[in-house]
Amino acid sequence: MVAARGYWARELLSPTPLALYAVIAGLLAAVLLVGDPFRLVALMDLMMWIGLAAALNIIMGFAGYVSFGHVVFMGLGGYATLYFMEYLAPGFSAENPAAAAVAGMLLGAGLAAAVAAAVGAAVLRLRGAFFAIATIGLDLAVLNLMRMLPTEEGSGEIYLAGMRKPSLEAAALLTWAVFAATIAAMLLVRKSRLGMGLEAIREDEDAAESLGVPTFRYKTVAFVVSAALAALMGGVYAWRTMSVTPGEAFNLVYSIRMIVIDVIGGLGTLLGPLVGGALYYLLDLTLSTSESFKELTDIVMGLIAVGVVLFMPEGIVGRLRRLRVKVGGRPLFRLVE
Amino acid sequence: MVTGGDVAAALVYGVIQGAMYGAVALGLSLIWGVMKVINLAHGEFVVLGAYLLIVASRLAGVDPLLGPFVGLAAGLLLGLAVYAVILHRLIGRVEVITLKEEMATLLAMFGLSIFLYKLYFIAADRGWLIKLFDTVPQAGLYARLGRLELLGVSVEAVKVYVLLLSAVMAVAMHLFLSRTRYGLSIRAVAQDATALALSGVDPVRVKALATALGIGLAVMGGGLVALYQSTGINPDLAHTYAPLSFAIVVMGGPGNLWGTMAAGVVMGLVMSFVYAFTGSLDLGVAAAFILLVASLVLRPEGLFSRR
Repeated sequence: MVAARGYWARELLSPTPLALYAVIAGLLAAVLLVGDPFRLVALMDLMMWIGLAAALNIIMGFAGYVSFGHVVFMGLGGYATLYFMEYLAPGFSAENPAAAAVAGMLLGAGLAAAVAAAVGAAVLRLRGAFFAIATIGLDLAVLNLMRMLPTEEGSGEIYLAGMRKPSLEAAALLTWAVFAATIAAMLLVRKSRLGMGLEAIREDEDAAESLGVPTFRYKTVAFVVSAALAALMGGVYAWRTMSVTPGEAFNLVYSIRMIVIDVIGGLGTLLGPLVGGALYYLLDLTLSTSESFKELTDIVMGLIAVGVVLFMPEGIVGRLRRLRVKVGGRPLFRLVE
Repeated sequence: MVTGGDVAAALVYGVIQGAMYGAVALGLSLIWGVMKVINLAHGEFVVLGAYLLIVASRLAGVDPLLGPFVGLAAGLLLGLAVYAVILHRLIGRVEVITLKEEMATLLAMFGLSIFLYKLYFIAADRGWLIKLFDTVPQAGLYARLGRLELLGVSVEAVKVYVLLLSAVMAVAMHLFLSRTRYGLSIRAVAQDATALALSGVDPVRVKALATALGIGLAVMGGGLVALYQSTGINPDLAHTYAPLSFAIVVMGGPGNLWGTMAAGVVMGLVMSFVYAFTGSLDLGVAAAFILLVASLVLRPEGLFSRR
């Protein structure tokens, strides 16, 4: 079945997608114009968190499957990138590190997609908390297995000591590219038939199944796309920091932050990861630069997450959508998605 | 080479460690089984119990062997507070808990877990009562315990005490749930809250009680961990014991306390034997979680539950 004529033009040029394009363009301009290294790093971190949260949003927000294991895919992306650069193509990497990093990232995305498809075939049969817990188990199993990866540094750690650090500009541009791709993918998934099927799965999986939505296929595709995008972001991050260790690359803290960002911003909304990610990052930046509140970001985020679940379970963007106001003659929920 | 002695040692330590894992997971199993609340802050409550034992001994001179009971008392109160502040709003008046409430409680408890986890680090950093790597003070009867011989394996007596206490916790919970009016109403609320209300019991009070007990048991379990873990404790144990407990509860079947204990022993034996044969602790942990994912996929209702 094909979409009605004019569907894509209308949907991709409605206010929310336009706002997303503006953010993507604005961040590119910022990356190109900001010369200050500190600000460039800040921009990269911001784009990374929004991108990761947007990737997670595809499976957790659209389909309603809470994945605590998303850091697995991010970590696999990082590992694939650095393993490729140090062991598989050291000559190429020394010559042209940026191209090697991109190749490694694509390799990582493929690896993550394959792992997601294989693992998803098993764990996507589970629902609710059982799925969430299976993904925690997946993370810990992979973390402990990766400690056995044979590397020269031992205990599965890789440090690209011999190589030049990437220039900040190159790393920032690559981060932006992955960020833009992630947001675009999230938008396309949301607006496509797949996205509508995922929404039906989230609201009532049995009903969706009985109405002919191929639930298992849709869930698997969502999981694979979501995993591949997280892996790309993990790959850039690993290239930027030039190191991956099992304890850091598969640290559940990354999953935790992605989840909290999505919950605060509004699960299943397009703007949620951007709003939540910006809020998270601003909070982190403010608190981590103040002497007495240094490590408080996560504690504050934890409290905010509890508060949001208790008092505003639909998140910031979700709450906005429920306001009964009209802007320019159109109800707000048509404008904000 | 693995000798007969090694196998006996793996067996003895596996059973002791496994019984403790089971006891630590009891509280999680109870809350999950009764209310479908996934207590993602479970690991943090376990760490709280471990630190509580140390602090009670250091500041109030409580014998570390009695520390788990201090934990139980504190945990009961804390559980009531958690119910009143967080859970009541989400599930207090809900009769049938659907996926939506399940996810809301999961995320709320998850927020609480981040909060507590970071709180330990900040407390340790600022020197409030605890240290990042803390050990149980050598005091009271705890300091005078020697070693015992079990199946030809020499074991620290304190570990045998942990084994006994774990068994006592399981038996006491079993008696409470099967022999007392409150215990029976806890099991009833899991089955049919409406029918329970019609028979004159307030489901809200029962849910509050179940939360208090579940968190009380988790904090008490933390005391066992402190006694067992001779290398000392730190907040990161939350990230060891929470996933482990989830694995055990899932394998045993949520709410099935004997299943939880049995799954704990299985888990303890798997880790202990993988370690004995490969010498790799990481591989043991990985095996445990592969077992978890496999058991979730193959028997999501629990390995030991009757269909």
